[in-house]
Amino acid sequence: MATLPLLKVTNFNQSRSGRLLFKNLSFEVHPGQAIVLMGPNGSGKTTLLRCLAGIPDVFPEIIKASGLRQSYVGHLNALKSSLTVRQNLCQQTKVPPEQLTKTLEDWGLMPLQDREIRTLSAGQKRQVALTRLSLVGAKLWLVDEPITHLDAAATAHFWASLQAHLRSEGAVVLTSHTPVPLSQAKVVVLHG
Amino acid sequence: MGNLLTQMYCELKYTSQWALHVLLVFLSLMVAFGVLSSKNPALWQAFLPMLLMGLSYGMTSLSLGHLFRDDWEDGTLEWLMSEGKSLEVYGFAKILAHWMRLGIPLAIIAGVVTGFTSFPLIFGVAITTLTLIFLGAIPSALCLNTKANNSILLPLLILPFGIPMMVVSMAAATDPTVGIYSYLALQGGLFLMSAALSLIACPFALRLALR
Amino acid sequence: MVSHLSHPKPLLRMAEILLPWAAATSFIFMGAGLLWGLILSPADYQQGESVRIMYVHVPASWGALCVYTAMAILSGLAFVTRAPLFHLMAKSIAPIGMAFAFISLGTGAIWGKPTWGTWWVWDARLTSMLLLFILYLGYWMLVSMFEEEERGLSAGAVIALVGWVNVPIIKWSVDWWYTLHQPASVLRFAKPAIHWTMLMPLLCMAMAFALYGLVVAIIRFRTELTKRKVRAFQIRDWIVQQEKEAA
Repeated sequence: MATLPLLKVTNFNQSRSGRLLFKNLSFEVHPGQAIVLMGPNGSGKTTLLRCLAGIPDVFPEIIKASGLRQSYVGHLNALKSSLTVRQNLCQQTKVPPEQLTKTLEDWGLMPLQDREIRTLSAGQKRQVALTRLSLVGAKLWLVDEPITHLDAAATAHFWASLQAHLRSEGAVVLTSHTPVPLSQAKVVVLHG
Repeated sequence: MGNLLTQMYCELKYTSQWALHVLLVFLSLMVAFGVLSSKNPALWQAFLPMLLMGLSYGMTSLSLGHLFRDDWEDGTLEWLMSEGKSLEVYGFAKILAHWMRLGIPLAIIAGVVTGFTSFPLIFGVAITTLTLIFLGAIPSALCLNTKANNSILLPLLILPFGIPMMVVSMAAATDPTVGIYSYLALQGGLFLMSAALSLIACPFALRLALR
Repeated sequence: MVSHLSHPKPLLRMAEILLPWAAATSFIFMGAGLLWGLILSPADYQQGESVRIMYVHVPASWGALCVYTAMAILSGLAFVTRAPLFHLMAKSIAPIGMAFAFISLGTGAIWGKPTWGTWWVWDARLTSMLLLFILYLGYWMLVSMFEEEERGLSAGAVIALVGWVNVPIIKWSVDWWYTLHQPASVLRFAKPAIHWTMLMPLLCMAMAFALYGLVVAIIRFRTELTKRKVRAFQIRDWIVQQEKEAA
């Protein structure tokens, strides 16, 4: 591919609590490409994703394209339980209300838009957190275990929006326990 | 600046029950002491500044454990860092919002109880609580991701910082020989120092908690 | 790959050479100081024999202040040079300072009873020395509350740096406020207000405390470095084993 990579990792090492998690890890993420991080529990998938997102330190071995807008959805949903769905998303992303309405309609979350987060089920909360990805208009999506708690319909919708994002020259890095239904995704396997 | 104000506005919009809880404890303690010294009004008058200052210190110290905890637990802090937002502004907004919910009501209660006679005392309570929250935010952020959740460590760490400040502020507020300008200078100096220290140390401590 | 310290080897070698000499001189100074102070020096005109507690109380107080200052300097160096070595040094000397502060408070209380008639009074110097002890305690608790050592050391360094403000308060509190504790007699800009027959044993004891602190600091620092070396070897063996399994 002649396009410049959005994210480039070169010889990245990380140890945690005296255990070496990865050694000399190198890969690139190009526009339109999806990377899946797979491995057993505790192999460092979430740690690697957080390092890619720059939480909390920026590493010199991880280089991002200048001006790259990223969107990170971690294991925790980062939603305030006493605010409603609309209030949370408005406050976090500052998008105009019409765009928010359109996205909520796409995801089928319109009936929930004025309900407080603490009244939602785990799957619904996860869906709300995932809508943040498409709202911000980021080129690079970093998602940790996206389909936990999601039912079949929501899971199918997520993969569909992911494909749409890849077709429009975006890139995704996600972690998963189970195989991912993306045909051309590159898989990086981390050993425990 | 606009960022700061929007963050503070969002902070104040939440129903934060623990600030109210702490205020109610303060009120109940004041009422208890008032009732207990009802036989001896002179005692009440003499002890009043000390009681107000001491109890405000105690209540603020107890409430500081929750300053960053909610955001850390539900992943908002993590998300803020991933968006590259400024942690200094975040810390400042959190501290100021906390003070507006706790310090200002404490100062008003102090004023009501003393009958608004002693301006230095009311001002002292307000500014001392603000300085204390700035300084106490540092141990609060340091204790986030540790085994010392809700343990005695946080009040222990706040103690060496809060007590000298409280003593200075109290002495200046109640001593009639201290002029208003020297008091303001001293209090202002302490406040600026604590604010500067806090704005440098808090982002570092928050990053430490997320490693 | 594995977090390594910046050149501990020359430092460790120097410490190993220094250790027996420091221990020996500390022992000599301690013996001489105790003999001179407790037996040979004159009793005070007002306080009588109880002034002899000064020979333990004052060096311990100086020690507590100096150790905290050293911790603050080391933590500052650690942040500037990004070498974990200085964090480890600060952690090694913390319990020494805590012990000195405790001795200072205890001997001070014992001295206060015959001299002032009370075990404790909430004046500026005593309270700030107590706060210094609480700072040491807080540092120690904070560093041990982290599962990962590096994070704990960084967190403790913040406390060491920010809490250093307490040290000048202790030093000059007796000059700023009129308190029960006597004002500075030795470490001040004018000539010392203490007679040389009492000053000399005092300085002797101060040297003894300082050298003893150095001895304990070297031993503790050596232990910390050994622990890290063991962990580094464990990680190396684990990596070798992983590569063997992969091959």
